[in-house]
Amino acid sequence: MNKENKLMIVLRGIIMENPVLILILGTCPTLATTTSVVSAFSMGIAATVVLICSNVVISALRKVIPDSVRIPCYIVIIAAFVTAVQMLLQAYLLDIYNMLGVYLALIVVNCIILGRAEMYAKNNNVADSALDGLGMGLGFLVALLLISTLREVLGNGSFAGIEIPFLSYFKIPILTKAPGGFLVYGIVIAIMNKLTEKKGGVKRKSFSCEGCPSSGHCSKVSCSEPVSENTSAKEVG
Amino acid sequence: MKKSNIMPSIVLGAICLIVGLLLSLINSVTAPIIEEAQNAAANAALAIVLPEGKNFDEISIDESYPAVITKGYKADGGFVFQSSVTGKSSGLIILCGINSDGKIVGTKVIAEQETDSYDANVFPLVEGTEGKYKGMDIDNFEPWLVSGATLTSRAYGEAVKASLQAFAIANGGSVDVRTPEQILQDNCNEALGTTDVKFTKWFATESLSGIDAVYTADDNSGRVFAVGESFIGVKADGTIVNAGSADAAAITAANTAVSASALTEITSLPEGVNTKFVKKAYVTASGNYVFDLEATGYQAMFDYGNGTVIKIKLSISADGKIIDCLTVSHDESKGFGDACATEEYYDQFRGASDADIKLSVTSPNAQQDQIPDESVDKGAISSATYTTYGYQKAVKEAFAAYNSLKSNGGDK
Repeated sequence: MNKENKLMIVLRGIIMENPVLILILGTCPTLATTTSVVSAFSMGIAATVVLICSNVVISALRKVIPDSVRIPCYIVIIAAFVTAVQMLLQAYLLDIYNMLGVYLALIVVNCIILGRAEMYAKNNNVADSALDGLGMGLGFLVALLLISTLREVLGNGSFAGIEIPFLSYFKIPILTKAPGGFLVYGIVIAIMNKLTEKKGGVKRKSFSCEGCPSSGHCSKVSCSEPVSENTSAKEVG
Repeated sequence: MKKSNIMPSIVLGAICLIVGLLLSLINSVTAPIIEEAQNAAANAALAIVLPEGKNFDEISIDESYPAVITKGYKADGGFVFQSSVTGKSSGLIILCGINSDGKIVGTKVIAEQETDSYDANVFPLVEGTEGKYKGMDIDNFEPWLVSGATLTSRAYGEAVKASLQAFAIANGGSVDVRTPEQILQDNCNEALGTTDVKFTKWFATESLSGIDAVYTADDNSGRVFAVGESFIGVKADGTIVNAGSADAAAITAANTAVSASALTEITSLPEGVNTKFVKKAYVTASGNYVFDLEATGYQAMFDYGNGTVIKIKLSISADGKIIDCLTVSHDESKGFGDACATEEYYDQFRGASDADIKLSVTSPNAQQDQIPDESVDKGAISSATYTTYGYQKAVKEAFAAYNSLKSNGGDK
C-alpha cells in the first residue's frame, strides 16, 4: 500500500466513514458526553487510545486467535485497554475520570471499537490497523467536538466552561438535555450527508452494498448472504 | 471436550492470563497514586475549613461525643468535625475546622435541603453565617441567629457548639454533652436519690412561694423542688432527702400544698361561659381554678392535617392571676405557631391578670392589617396570627369563665 493510501486510511475514518456521522455508531457516548466540550474531548481521546491499541493487538494476534472465540478475545483485549485507561485517568487526571463517570467503562462495549476490530483489524496488518484506529478515533473525536461545541455554546452560552459574554444571555437550555442532543445530532448528520453527497459520497437512500460505507472492506455479495461456519474471516462483513 | 475446542480455549485462557498480569502490573503502579489522589481530594474538602491542616486522619467518634457529630478528623494543625443537624425542614451537614488553640477557623455547609421547604429564602439567609463563628472557642461561643431563618441558624449554631465540645473531648477533656432535658432528669434523680426514674413537671395549681418548679417522679417515689440552681428531693413519705441551703420548712409546706392540690371538676358551668373555648373547669381546695381550653389555631382554622385544635391547661389563683399555663397538645406550624408550646411562652402568662391580656388581633382574618407584636402583648407570636388569636382568645374566655364562677360563688 503506498503512502497516499495510508493517508486515505486515516482520512476515511475522519470524513467518508466517520463512525458517528456516517456509520452511526457510538451513539450512546456521543449523546451522553457532548453536553460539554471538555467531557467530549476527554471521551474522544480515551476512545481513540483504546481504538488504536486494540486494533494493533487484535491485528497482531489475528492469525493466533481462532475464529470461534474471536469475539470473546476481542472483548477481553478491549476491556483490558479500557481498564488501563481508567486506572491511568484515575491516577493522573481525577477530574476527567470523575467527569466521564460510567461512560468511560462503557467504552468496552462501544460499537466503534468492536466494529473496527471485526471489520478491519482482523483482516489487515498492524500498521494499517493502527492507522485505521487513529482515523476512526479522530473521526469520533471530531464528531464529538462538533456536536459538543454546538450544544455547549448555544445551550449553555459557554465554550469549554468559559462563559461567552453575549451568548450567555441567550441560552437554549434544551440543547444541553437529552432531546437537544438528539436534535443537534440529527442536524449534524443531515449536514454531513449533504456535504458528502456533493463530494461524490455514497447516497444513503441506496440500501444495496453500493450504499454501504464499509463496502470497500466487505467481501459479501449482499447483506442477506448467510454466514456459514466455513465462511472465512474475510467474508464476514 | 471436543478436540476442536481445546485450542480456542487455550488461546482465550492465555489472552485472559496475559491481560490479567498486565493489568495487575498497571494497578501496582497506579494504585498508590490513586489512593494519594483520593486522599488529596478528601483533604481538599476538609482544608476548606482548616486551611493550615495537613495529613487528615479520621478519628473514631464514640458515645462520649455529642450526638450530632458524625465524623472527626485529626490534622497537624487541628481538628475538623462533621455534624448532622436538623434545621427548618431537613438535615444540614456542616464541617467545622478548629485549630490547635481550640478556635474556630472556618465552617461550611456541605449538604443541605432546607430550600426544599416552602420558604426557599431560609437557607440563603444562613449562608452568610459561614465565617461568623471564626475565632470563637468553647468559652466565648455565641450562637449566630438569623432573623427569618431561626431554626436553620439555630441548628447551625448547635453544630458549631457540638464541634467545639468534640474538640475538647478529642483532646482528653470532659464536656457535658447532655441535652437540657437530660440534665434536668439527671438533677431530679440525683436530688431524690433515684436512678433512671422519669420526672414530669407538675402543672401548678397552687402558688408556691420561693419554688420555681416542681417535678413529680413517674413511679410516685417522690417530688423534686427546684429552687434557683438547687434541686431538693422529697420522698413520698414527706422526708426531705437533702435540703442543703434551702429552707426546709418552706419545702415541706410546698410539698404539703402540692399533695393537697386535688382538683374538683365543676360539672355545671354557669351560663355565658363560652364552651367553644372552655371545655372543663376545676376548683382546688384553696379556691384556685383550673381550665381545660381548646383554641382554634392555624391548623384548625384551615383544617390542615386533621384540623387539630390547640389544647391548653390554665390555672388562675383565687385573686385572679394566672398561676400556670401549659399547651397540652397542638399541631401548629414548625418555626411559627409552635412557639406556643415553650416555657418562654408560658412565662408571658404566668402572673398575668385579666386586664393584662389583650387580643393582639381582633380577628384572625385581619392579619394583613394587624400583625401581633411580641414586644407589647402577652401571648403574641410574630408571624403566627391565627395561633396568637386562638390562644389569647382562649385565655380571655377562661378569665370570663373564672369571673362567672366567682360571681356564682364557685358553683361546683
